[in-house]
Amino acid sequence: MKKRLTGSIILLALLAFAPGAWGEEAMLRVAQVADISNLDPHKMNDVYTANVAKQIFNNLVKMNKDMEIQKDLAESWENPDARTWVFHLKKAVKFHNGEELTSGDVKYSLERVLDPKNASPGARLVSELQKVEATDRYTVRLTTKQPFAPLLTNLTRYEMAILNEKAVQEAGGDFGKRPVGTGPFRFKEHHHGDRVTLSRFDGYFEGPAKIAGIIYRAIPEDATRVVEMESGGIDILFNLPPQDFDRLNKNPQVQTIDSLFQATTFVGINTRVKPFDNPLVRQALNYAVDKRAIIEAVWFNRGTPSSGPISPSIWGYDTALPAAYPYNPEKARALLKAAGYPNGFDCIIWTDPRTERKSIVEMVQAFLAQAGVKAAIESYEWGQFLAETRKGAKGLYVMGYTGTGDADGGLFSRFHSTGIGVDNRDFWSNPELDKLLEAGRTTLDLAKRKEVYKEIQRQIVEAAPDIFIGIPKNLAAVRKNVKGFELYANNINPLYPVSIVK
Amino acid sequence: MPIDKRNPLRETWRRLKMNKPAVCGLSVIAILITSAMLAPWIAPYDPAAMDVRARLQGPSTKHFLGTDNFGRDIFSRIVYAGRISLVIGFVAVGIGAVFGGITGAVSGYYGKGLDSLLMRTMDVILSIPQLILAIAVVGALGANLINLMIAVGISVLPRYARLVRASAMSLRDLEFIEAARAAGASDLRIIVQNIIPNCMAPLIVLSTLGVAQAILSAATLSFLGLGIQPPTPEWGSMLSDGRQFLRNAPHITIFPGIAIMIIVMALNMLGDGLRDALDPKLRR
Repeated sequence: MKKRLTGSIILLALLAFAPGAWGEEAMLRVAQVADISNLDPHKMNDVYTANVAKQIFNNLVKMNKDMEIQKDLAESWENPDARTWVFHLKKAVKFHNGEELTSGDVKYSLERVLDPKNASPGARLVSELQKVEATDRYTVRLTTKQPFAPLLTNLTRYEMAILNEKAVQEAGGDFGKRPVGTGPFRFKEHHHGDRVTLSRFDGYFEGPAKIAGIIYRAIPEDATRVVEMESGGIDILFNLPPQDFDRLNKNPQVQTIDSLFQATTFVGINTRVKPFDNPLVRQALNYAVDKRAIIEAVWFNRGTPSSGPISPSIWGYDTALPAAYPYNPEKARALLKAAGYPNGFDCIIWTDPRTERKSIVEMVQAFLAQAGVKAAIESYEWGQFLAETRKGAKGLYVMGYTGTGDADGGLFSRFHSTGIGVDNRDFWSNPELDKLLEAGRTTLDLAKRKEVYKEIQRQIVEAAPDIFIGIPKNLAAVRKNVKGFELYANNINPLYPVSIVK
Repeated sequence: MPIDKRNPLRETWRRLKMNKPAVCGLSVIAILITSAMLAPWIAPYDPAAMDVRARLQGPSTKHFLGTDNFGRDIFSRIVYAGRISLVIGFVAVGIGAVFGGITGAVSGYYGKGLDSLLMRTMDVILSIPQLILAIAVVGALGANLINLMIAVGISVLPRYARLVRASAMSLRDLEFIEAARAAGASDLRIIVQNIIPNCMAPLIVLSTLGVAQAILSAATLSFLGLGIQPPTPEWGSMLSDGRQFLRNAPHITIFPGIAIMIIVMALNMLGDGLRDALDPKLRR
C-alpha cells in the first residue's frame, strides 16, 4: 500500500514537471537557412539576422503585411514643412533592461547609424538626414537636407531599430552579443551555427506575447529543413524549396503559404561592355529568354514574370505595365541582325554557386544559344561575386534585389549614376533618368510621385539594362496548430501575434 | 600446355581470356567507349535541349531514362557525359602515369641525392589528401575540362612514381643492365630501352585501376561544382544537380550514379584480371 502511494506521488511529480503539462505555453520553433551574424541592428546586413532582430527591437514606424506604414514606437508624426518630420513617442515604453524609452534614445540611435565610424549598412537609407533633435522627453524632430519622400519607409527598415543608449554604452563593443531592445522578446542565448533562443518580455508595451519564446534554428540544407517540418521538429519553415511545396501541402498537419515577394530576380548586364552598350542587343537578349519557362522549371511556377525592375509589392510599382519582353525568338534574331550581329556573339555570364541561381543561368544560356549568343558560365563564391560585380561584370550576371518597400529603394541605388561602384552593377548612367530618380525622392505629393516612378519604370524597361526575369513567391510552411502567423513580402516576419494551440 | 615464348603480349592476352570477370569488364568498357564515340547517333535527343513542359518525368518509351528538372533527356545526357568522363579518366591517369613513371625511373636509376629530392617531393604531394589537392589545383587554375584532368593527374602522380622507382631500383643492378652499360649505352638509352619496358606490367595494372579512381575523383569535383561547366553533361555534376529532387524524382540522380558504378566496376574487374595475367609468379 505504502509502496503504491509513493509510486503514485512520483508519477504525479513526473507529470507535473513534464514539458507541456499544466497548459504551460510552448516555445515556437522556427527554421531558417542560416545562422545569425551580429544582433546589433546597426551592423547587420542579412535577412536571417534581421528576422531575429525584428522580435527584439522596434522602430519609430513599421509596415504591416500590406506594406502600409503603421505606428510603432511613435504615437503620431507630422510635417511642419517639407524638410521637417516631428515624431511624438509613445509613453511608458520599457527596454528589456528596465529603462524607459525617451527621445534621447531615438536621437542616439539615428546618429549612431549615421556616424561614419560605425560603417552602418543602413546609413545610406537615411543619408539625407541633416540633423536629429530631441525637442522634449517624448518628441523628436528630424530635418532632411532636401525634401525626402522615402523617409518613413526607410525608417521601418530593420537597420533603423531604436536602441537604449545606456545598454549600448554598458555593452561596450559587445552589444551584438547582448542586444537590448523594446521588442516583445528578449535575447536569451546563441549557440553558434545551431540556434538562437529568445524568451518573452513581459513588460512589452503592447502586452506580453502569447508564446513563451522563440527558438530560431539554422538548417542550411533544403531537404533537411523540409524533413524537420514533416517530422514535427519545427513549427515554422522559412525559404520552403519550391519543389517541396506541393508535397508539404498534402500533409494534413502543415499549412503552406505563398505570398508575393519584394525581391526581383534578373540577369544584369554590364552596359559598358561591348556589345551590350547597344540597346538593340540588350532588347534582343530580353526577347530571346523565355521567362515563363524559367519560372516553371526553377520556381515550379511559384512566381510571376517581371514587368520591369521592381516587384508589384513595392509602393510605386506601375500596375499598368505588361510583362516585359515576352518570349519572341524571331524578334530576338531580327534585333541582333539589326544591331550588326546576325550570327550572334560570345559572352560571359556570372553566377554564385546556389542551385537556384545556377539553374536560372543554365536556362538563360540555353535560350541565348538558340539566338546564336554563346554564353560561358563562370561561378563565384557569393562574397567574391558581390565584390566583382561592383567592379564590373565581364558581361552578364544573375542576381536578385530586394530594395525597401518604396520604389526609391529598388531603383535609385541600382540605376542612378552615383550608384556605380556600389549597387549600380549595370553601370547605367543616363542624365535624364538621374533627374527623374532625384525627382522621385524629393516629390512629397504621392500622386505626382507615382507618375514620376511610372515614367522611370517605362524608361528602364525600354533601355533594358537587365534581362528582366521574374518575381519569385515567398514560400513558407507552418504547422496547423500555429495561429496568427503572417508572411511578409520582405521575408522579415514579426512573430509577436503568433500563438500555439494544443 | 605449351607456353608461347615468342610474344609476351599474346601470352598475356591468352591468360586474360581465361579470366571471366576480366573479359566481362573489358567488354563493358568496350561498349561504353563505343557508345561514347557514337554518342550523336546513339543519343535520341540533344543533351542540352530543354523542354520545360516535359520536366521531371520518369522513364517512359519516349524518354528511356526519364527527364531532368529542365526536361532534358537523361539517357542522352548519360551517353554524352560518358565521353567526358572516359576522357578525363584516361587522360588524367595518362598524365599521372607518364610523368610519375619518368620521375620514378629517373629516381630509381640514379638513386642518391636526386632520388631523395624527387621522392621527398612525391612525399609532400602524398601527404596532402588527394581530393583536397585536386580542389586546390582546380581552384588555382580555374574550373574547366583541361584543368580538371591536370588536377586529378597531379594528385595520382606519386603512386606511379613510387611504383616505377621500386622496379627501377631492383633492375638497375641486374646483369643485363650492367651489360648494356658495359657496351657503352648512355643512361637515357638504358632508362628508355631497358628500365621502362620492364616496369610496364605493374604500371599497366595500376593505371587500369587508376582510371576508375580518376573518374570517381572527377565526378566528386564536378559534384562540388569544380568540374565541367554547364551545359556539358558530366556524370558527377548530373548527380549533384539531381540531389535537390531526390525526394520527388530520384531517377535524375540514380541513373548517372549507376553509370559511374558500372564503369568503375568494369575497370576494377579488368584491372584485377590484368594483374593476374601479368604476374610471372602465377604463370603455369
